[in-house]
Amino acid sequence: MNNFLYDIYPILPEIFILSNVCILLVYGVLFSSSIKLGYPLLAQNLGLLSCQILGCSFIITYYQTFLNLSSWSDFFINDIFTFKTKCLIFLMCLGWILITFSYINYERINSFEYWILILLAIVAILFIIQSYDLLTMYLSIEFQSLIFYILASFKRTSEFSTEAGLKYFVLGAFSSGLLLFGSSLIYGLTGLTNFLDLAKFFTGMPMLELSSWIGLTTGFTLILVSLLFKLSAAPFHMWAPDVYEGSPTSITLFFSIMPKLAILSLLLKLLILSFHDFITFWRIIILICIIFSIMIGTLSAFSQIKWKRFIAYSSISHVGFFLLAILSGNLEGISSSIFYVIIYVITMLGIFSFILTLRFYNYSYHYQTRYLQDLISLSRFNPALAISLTLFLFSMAGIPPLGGFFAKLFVLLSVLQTKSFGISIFVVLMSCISCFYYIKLIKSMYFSSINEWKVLYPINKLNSLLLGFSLLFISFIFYDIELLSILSTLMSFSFLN
Amino acid sequence: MNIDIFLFYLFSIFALISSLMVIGLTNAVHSVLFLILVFCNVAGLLLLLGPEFFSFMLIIVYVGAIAVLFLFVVMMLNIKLKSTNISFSSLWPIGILTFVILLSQFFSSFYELDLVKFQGKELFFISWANENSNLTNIKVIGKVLYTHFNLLFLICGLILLVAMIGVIVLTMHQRVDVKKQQIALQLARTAPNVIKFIILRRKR
Repeated sequence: MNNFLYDIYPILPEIFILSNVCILLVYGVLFSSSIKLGYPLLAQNLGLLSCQILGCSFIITYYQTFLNLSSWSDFFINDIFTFKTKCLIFLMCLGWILITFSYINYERINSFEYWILILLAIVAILFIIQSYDLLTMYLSIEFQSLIFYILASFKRTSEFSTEAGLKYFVLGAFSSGLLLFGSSLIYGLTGLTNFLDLAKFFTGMPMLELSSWIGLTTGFTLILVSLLFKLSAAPFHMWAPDVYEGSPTSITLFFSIMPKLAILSLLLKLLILSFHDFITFWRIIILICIIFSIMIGTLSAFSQIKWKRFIAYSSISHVGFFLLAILSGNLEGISSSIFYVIIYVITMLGIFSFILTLRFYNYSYHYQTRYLQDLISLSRFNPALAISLTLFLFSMAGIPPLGGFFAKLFVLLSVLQTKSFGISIFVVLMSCISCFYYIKLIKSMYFSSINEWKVLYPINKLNSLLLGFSLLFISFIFYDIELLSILSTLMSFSFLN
Repeated sequence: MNIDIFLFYLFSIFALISSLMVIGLTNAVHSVLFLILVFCNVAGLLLLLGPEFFSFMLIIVYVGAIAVLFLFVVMMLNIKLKSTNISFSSLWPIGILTFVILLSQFFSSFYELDLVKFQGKELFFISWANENSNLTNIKVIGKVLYTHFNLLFLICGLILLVAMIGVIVLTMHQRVDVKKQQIALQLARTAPNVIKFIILRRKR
């Protein structure tokens, strides 16, 4: 009984969300199909309810006593990293709801299952963060990606959306197969599935036998490939631009912020904890991935004319930076990687709240911006939005007093500590190139003239709140950088074994 | 040769060959049929290893549900089959094989059974005291699945819930213009009202 309570206590927020999902499902089905009420649309109502549920579960998580234990017969880990990450995930999701709430109304995404799927996706992400075993890793990744396939093809009347869903499904199923094959190879050769058991088993092992070495590295590579696929790192990034473009914009934002931290935590666990003794082996794979993702992410963004594809490619190059921080394999690297992810998420929230607010009014209807050329001379007809986008782009380019600069700086410092000069010079050159096209956008906003004036739809309050918050955060983080650096260092301690 | 090893090689060779056929064949229906053969062979391999419950589950789930689903999909794709004339001589080997198998079955039954007294020639003794304490396969799985691996069981349940919601969300059309059967209208129909006479050209 005591054990059972220890199992229950760490996943209390998840249990709370899941029981609420059940209630909301019954509520939605009963009310949306009742003749007496005239088939009401429940999307807005359920959106507010799920906002409340996420807020409550954030409070539950925040006020939980921190316990350092592995629960559910070692399938879940509960340490300082998962504890803090859960809080972050809830905050991120609350921010996401604030931004996209109006979008749901404008685009008439009326089915109430949308919010239920979002809540389930949050549970899946929390499961991924806590998973400490190959079995739970596979099952929770599958849980998450199944929800993502549905969300990607949610606007089923649009051709783009169904294409995105199908593409994501086929490629994602392939990568899940690779993950399963890799884990079965590792289980077959060692008989272990727990991450910590694997770490103990591999200490001092690598040069033991050639046959098991080949099998283990093959299995490990397959797992790594499928995780890098889910993270959309470069040689495995093919799905990302199409899926980002096709799915509804709110879902694009969800894809670009939510799973990154979860998958990254799995990568950290596998690379730093379980397979740390294979460091000479995995460094090569990660290095190749970094070079490809930064190069492809930077150079392909040039030729894009649509917002979402542009953001997809820039997120690929950001993934390169996450991986670059892991490359050193030490504590500094992990903490700078977590720091980078947090800054990246906040920047993404800001940029997407900009994109979602930039709606052009064309009498009797208004539509959302889709092309980058909509920016031309934005500074004339809305200077506030123009300056906010300028700051976000400067932050992404890494101009000194803004948040993005510090994120890149910490990553590069941690890499330089291990004396990897070549890759750091390459990265600096590439980020110079990316600076060029960020500044090109700013130039088109401020210095190009337009013949016809466009009318913008007024910004709604929630979006502007979050836009302002992320703008202030990005621009004044230099004032007290320890706000985040202490947090990320604390979170990285749990990988110290 | 030990019968286990013989069967192992048999099943694995058949599984390999038929999985190669799945990839290699141009006809989609045939490759699905070979896929079913792969599943059956793998189920046989599992049966040799011991977990008989899993092997039958494999047949029920993969052959019974998924492969049949594949077959339906393939048939809906409307792929034209090239009909090949089966010559009588190509049927000979199969016929001989079936004949030999049936004949060997017949003789082996003679060998084991005393047809006059209608009973087995040799008696097998089973120690029921030992067998009583044996756990069956399903019991073992249940004991582990609901205790040590209960978390995985719960997550699987959640995945199935998501699958159900997803299918409903993506396929349910709530349209107004669907033609449905309206029973009230049908019942109100009477013989005089059914036939209408429309005069197309009015004579003046």
